[in-house]
Amino acid sequence: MAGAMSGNLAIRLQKIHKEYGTKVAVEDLDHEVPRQTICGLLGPNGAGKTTTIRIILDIIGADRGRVEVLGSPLSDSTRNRVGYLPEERGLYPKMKVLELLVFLADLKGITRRLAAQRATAWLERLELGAWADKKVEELSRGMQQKVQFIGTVLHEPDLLILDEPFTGLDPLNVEILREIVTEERSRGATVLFSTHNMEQAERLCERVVMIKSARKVLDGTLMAIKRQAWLAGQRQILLALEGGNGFLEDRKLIDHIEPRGTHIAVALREGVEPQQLLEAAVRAGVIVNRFEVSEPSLHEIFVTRARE
Amino acid sequence: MNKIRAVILREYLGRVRSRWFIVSTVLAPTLVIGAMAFPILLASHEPGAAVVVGVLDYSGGAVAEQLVRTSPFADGRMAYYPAQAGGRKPTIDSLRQLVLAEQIDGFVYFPADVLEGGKVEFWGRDVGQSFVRGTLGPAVTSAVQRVQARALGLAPQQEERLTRTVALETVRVTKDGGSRNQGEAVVTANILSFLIYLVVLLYSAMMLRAAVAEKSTKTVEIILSSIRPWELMLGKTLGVGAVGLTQITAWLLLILLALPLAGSASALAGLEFLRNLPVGWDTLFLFIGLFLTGYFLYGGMYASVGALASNEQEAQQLQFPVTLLVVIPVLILPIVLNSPTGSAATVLSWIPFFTPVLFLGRYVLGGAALWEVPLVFLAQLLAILLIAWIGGRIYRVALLMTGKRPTLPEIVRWIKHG
Repeated sequence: MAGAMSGNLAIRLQKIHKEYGTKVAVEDLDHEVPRQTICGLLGPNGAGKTTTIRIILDIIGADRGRVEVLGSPLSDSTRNRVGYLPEERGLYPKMKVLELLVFLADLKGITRRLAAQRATAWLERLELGAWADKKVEELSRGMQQKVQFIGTVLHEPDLLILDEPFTGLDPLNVEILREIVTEERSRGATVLFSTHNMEQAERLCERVVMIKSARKVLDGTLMAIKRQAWLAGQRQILLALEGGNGFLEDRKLIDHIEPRGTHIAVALREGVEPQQLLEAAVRAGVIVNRFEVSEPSLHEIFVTRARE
Repeated sequence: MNKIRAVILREYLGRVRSRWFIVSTVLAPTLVIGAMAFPILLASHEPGAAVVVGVLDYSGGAVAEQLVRTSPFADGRMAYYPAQAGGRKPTIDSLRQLVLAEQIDGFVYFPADVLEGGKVEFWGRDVGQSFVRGTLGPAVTSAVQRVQARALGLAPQQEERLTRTVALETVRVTKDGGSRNQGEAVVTANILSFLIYLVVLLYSAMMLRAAVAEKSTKTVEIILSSIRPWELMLGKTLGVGAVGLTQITAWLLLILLALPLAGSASALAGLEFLRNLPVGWDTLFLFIGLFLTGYFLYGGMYASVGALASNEQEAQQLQFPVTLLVVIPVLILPIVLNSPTGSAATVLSWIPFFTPVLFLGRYVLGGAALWEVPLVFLAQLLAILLIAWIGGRIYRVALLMTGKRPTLPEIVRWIKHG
């Protein structure tokens, strides 16, 4: 039965545990990522995200627990179906771009000829065609990042694992990477990526898992998580006012406010209904141009959870 | 296996295609042969036009006349200054002046009692010992003997037979007879031992940089998501080793191609002597076999050390203990070559870290028994496995470590617990 179930899972972690000396990096973590989803792995620095990813890829071994990738413990053949973009990433500077890509695909069991064909197509597509025979060190940082993306997906993996993929990218490359990720998802791949960038996570993820201090504190579809937060009273009200906003200093109603360009985002205290804020505004005699009860952003949810 | 092949291919092609490889493949034998040929060329010119010798004879002139006529001075490079020739008498002092004035390089002085056992002297300026001992000495002896023989009333042929130089060849006693060319064997043993030291050091030290490459270029995690550390290490070792074999083969081919030219071109005179060296196929195979084992042994150690570093500069600092171990056999090589069958030489050459250099030297000198060969290779194999086991454990843990350099107790813990 477990086999049948795990067949639909791209990643299945059962009670994985890892300690470095006396520090617990990952504590008895259970987690499942269904196939063909984009799953965000969130958490503050030092929460254990990279350790979890390295355990999934068998780059480091867990002290205990069980890891299944694409339906079975990681073997050479499943390894070939995984693409990985680590946080600390580099390329051999003295290798020529095309040769490097062929080498990376060769390591994944793709024939060199097929790898060369695919790599050439990818290089053309990302406007690097003229650089195929140049050494990596001659490329700009942005170009090298593109080469890294290609190296991650060249073997058409069934599972993509990206560790902080957006860090250090210029906006154009952020866009290209997002495009690649959604395409890979449509091709049928599962994507797990860790990030600090809540905006990107919100735009890309169908599912989110958050770990904090080595433990999982949040897990589910983005929609479910937002609904849950909403039900827990975690909602924000977007206000645009004319007249004074002195009434916003009422600490009985309001937890904190965040002035934005055209409006103010207001977080209510627990148990306070939006209605009460509107009443207070009317009583204060200000003109309300916008009053919008909005679901909390992933950022809000993240910050709230991280502070708990 | 395919993954290891991919790593081998990358390490091999990356190096073989580099400018460094092509330049060193052509340049190294040229330089080595040049370095060998140069002193030989110089030496062959030594008794030539450069050296002009005067002869001062107080014993009557017969010896001097004889000396001037005999080879290798028959071409007139030796000028006889007869003591009794009228007018000014040449004296030691007047010839000394000629030497100081650089008109002659030196002179031979025959005292009046030379035929009765008096000592002959050579006064010279900057003239090598090999010229005095190897060329002048025999010529002087032969000239005195001829004059003596003539005084005894011998016919010219008898005189010839009496005074001919006797060749002396060293033959080392072995079970199946005797091994000739011992003098050349010593030269060969020196050359080959030093050569194997050079190539083993050259290629094993490459593993230092190869092992740190993934860390210094930050590719380590990408690579480790596809391949296990031991596969990566094995692939690298085989790839770099294949580069070594390729280069040594290329060098051998170049030398073999150049050999036929040796006789014809005087610039290649050094090769003439190479051709005469007693290097058989067995020695060649032993050389290549020991190169491989030595390379795996030292390469494994360099790789372990390289894995501990985060970048190449750090690796350079850490390599010292390994390099020391590689240099030791060269330092004790003279002990072994002086007495290749002695127990000190035998035991030293069995120590796996010294075997490639020392055992090869003993073998060339005929100091190693044939049964030692498989045993020595077995010991090499065991040592390689041990180093690979230790290195693999260090490599696996050290690959993901950056920044802080591990302490010795930490390294010992990795080796113990993996």
